[in-house]
Amino acid sequence: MRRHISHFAVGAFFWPLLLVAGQGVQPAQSPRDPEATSEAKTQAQPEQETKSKGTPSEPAFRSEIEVGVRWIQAVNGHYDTYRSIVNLGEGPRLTAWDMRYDPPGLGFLKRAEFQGAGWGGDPASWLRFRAEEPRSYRFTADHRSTAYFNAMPSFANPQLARGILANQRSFDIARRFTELQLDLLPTSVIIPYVSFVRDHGFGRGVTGFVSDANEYPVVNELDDAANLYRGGVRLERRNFHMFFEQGGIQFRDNQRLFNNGRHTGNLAQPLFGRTLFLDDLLQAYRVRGSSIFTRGALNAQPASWVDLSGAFQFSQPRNDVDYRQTNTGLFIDLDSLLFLSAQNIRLLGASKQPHMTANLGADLRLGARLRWMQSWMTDRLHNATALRDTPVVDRLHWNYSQQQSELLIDLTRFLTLRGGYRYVWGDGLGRSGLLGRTPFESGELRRHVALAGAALRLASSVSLNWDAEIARSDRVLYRTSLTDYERFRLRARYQARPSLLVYGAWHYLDNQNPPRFNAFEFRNQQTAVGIQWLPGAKRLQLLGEYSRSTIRSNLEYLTPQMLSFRERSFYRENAHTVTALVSVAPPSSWSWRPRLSLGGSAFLSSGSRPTEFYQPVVRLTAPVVKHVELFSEYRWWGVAQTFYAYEGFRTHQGLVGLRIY
Amino acid sequence: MNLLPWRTALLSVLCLAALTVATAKDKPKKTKAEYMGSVTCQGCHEEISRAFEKNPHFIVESHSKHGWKERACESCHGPGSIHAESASPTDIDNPAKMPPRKGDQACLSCHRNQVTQVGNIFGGHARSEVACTQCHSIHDSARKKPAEDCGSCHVATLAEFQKPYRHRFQEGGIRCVDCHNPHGREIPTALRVVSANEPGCFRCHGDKRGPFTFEHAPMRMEGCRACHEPHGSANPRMLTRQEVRLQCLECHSNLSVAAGTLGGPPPAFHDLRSSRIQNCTICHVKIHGSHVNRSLLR
Repeated sequence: MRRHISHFAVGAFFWPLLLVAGQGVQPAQSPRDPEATSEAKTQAQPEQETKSKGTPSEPAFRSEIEVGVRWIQAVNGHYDTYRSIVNLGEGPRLTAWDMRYDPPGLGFLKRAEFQGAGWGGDPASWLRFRAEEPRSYRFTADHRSTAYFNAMPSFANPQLARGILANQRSFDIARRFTELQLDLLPTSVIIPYVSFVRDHGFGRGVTGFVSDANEYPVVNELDDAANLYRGGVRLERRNFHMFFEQGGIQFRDNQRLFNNGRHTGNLAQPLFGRTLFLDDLLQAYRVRGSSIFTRGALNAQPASWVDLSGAFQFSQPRNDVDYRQTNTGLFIDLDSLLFLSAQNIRLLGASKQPHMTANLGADLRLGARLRWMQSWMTDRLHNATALRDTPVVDRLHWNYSQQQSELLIDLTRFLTLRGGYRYVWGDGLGRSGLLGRTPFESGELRRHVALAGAALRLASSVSLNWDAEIARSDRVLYRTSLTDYERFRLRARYQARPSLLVYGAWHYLDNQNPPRFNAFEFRNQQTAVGIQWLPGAKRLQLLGEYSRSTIRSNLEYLTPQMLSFRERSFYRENAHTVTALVSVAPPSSWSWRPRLSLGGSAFLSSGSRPTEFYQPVVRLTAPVVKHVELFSEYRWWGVAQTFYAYEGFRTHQGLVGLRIY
Repeated sequence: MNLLPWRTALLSVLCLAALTVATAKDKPKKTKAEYMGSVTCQGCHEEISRAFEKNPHFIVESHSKHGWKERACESCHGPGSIHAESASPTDIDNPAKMPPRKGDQACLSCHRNQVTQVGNIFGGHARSEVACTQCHSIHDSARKKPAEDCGSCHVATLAEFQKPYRHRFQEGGIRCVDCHNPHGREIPTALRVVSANEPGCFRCHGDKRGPFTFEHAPMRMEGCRACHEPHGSANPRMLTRQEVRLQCLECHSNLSVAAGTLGGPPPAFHDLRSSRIQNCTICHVKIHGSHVNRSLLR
């Protein structure tokens, strides 16, 4: 758990690296090689091993708590952008805690764990509780709170600096997510379970109230919640497992828009000699929804050489909408070209969306070296909706299916080759645009994919995985869909020593849609390498990762005002991402062992949206007295996006606290 | 077409084959062994045994309902009498050293029915034969967080979270397994499902779930990734394009009826020379779907 707490103490941008560092040589402990595992534990995880040896004398209750104070130097640049990207605030924080209780004896509680992090005003905070008695029950509770702030004036509009319209959509909202689950374990055959999930979002923002010919940025109040209940039973025999689950959702959305006071909106010029404006507005959505759903799955091993599986899911969400709009001012109805001083609108809508998903699969092990995987999946969704008391109806159909055959051959004990074929087909129907010749338009999907791959496992030290997909499509749904593409992936890990791990990945995707699909070109390449070197029993830790990625996209589009004129949309991104961390501590013979960590990460890109994002960090931890440790951290945040004058900031941030364990 | 990736791929395969043949060895034959009980194992593997007592798998050792009471070690490693005599690693099954398809059978004999296991063979991990033990620790007493190990293989994905606009992964607000199911997939995308068969995005973004009276079709047909880059992006709101109008117009430019694709162009009053029009979502505020307006205006 110490590693977990350190994520928050050290700070956001070293979380992934420190996680690995905290695990010491966890990746080195390849479970394929117990000797290596043992050596790794000996060399790189002496503390953990000591704990393990001392298991009989471990106290029943253990805890670690981290409290700290964070301060931030005044943000240079655009403060709203800082909040949109980082949003860490000042003041005291309960940065993390971990408590574990293992009561002795055979009571109703065998283990309880309680963890949390980020409380006191941070934008991402969570807590988890788990209690179990492995012979009778397991209870888990998970709660998360996330603050989402987003307000960037020049969002999507690089010409803001020249006085052109600012972005008029922003959010300052929070989401609370709570999940409770109880698994009952009375027997090994029948395992009933129940679960409850609540998701609640609320807050304020700015959004557009759209009237004919003009739109007005107004205050937006958001409030939505969903309660999900589910219960089921698992049946488990040695070669035959299945589960059946029934659940339901209740959903509500009470979004409202307000305005009080004259507002001329975005239309600067008079229309037919009159200036449109908004005085008062109340726009209220009252959405009430519900859904029942059923799930079931079967996994069986009728013989040692075959696994069969199948699953079925069905849901039927429906929503009822009561929409009210009352606004006063001066508006225009473009259909009749009449000016209006007030509008009072009420709309009642209803939608129903039966959705069925199913899959079947067979995994056949034909002899010692051959494996055949055959699978089929379908996903079918039909949306039927209407505005009551009006002739307005809408439909959306989407039927997707795929079948796949794949053969795996163990050429040797260390090398597996595979090849296969996937056929994907589907059809969709949706509403046409305003220029459509018919009310609805339909599309189809027909894709043939050749699959290949190889997996190499040399003892426990080298693993290499190669994947290839080559696809050709007769039909696709959208002109931006991948049509004729090649995708390759290569992943490699080399455990040179228990304390040294080198890994890398390469991903390449090249799509060239033929001219009949508007010649969409898309190419993405990512290369990433990493190293973890943890010699000397935690005295020195060295972690580094580098990633290089490129995106290249070309596609023609029509400018709506001149449909005969074609322009080209280019998107380019050439990005470098570097993350590094060096952590040093004095020899274990020292009685006082502070630890200093230096590092940073940077994201640098050029292309359509050149970006620089620097996040250096320095961290110092030092024992104060027994069971108390001081931690401190300094970070610098710097973001700059060249074409966007308001989307940049830089600031210094400090954190000091105590860890009590 | 660029032939570089083909050459690279071919070269990789040849290297793999040569390396493998050079290092391959025949598997030694085994004679029949008998079960000895975990106490025998504990004699030599004391550390592992102690750690194992704090592991959830200890229930197999301590309770008869799984059928392996006091023989938990041999429930995965097989009968150990010969290994006990010879102390040779070659005389005992080690699922972690077996080819994954064999080693995983030991895990799946109990864990076949995990809800996350449904759709196992649709997942990339199954196809690539990523062994259970590559992510999960079987013996350790320390609580494992297998999802957090994802980065050592998916290193490029981890790097995407260093971009300025991203999900709050680094702050601990979200984990890989909140969105992804590493064991399989039940829907066409590689996402966990919520409420039976909806993509996992709606777990937190419940207000986008609908159903809407007027759906934005790509939301259902192509998924959120049609417009968003969920791991991280240099573009605000994790969009895949630097400006909203390009995001929209790349699809809404469809005059090629012969191609049979969806997404017609907007009417001509959308004059892109006006800054009002350039930011599509200023008017089309309900871009994910509207309960009352066909054009997603309210």
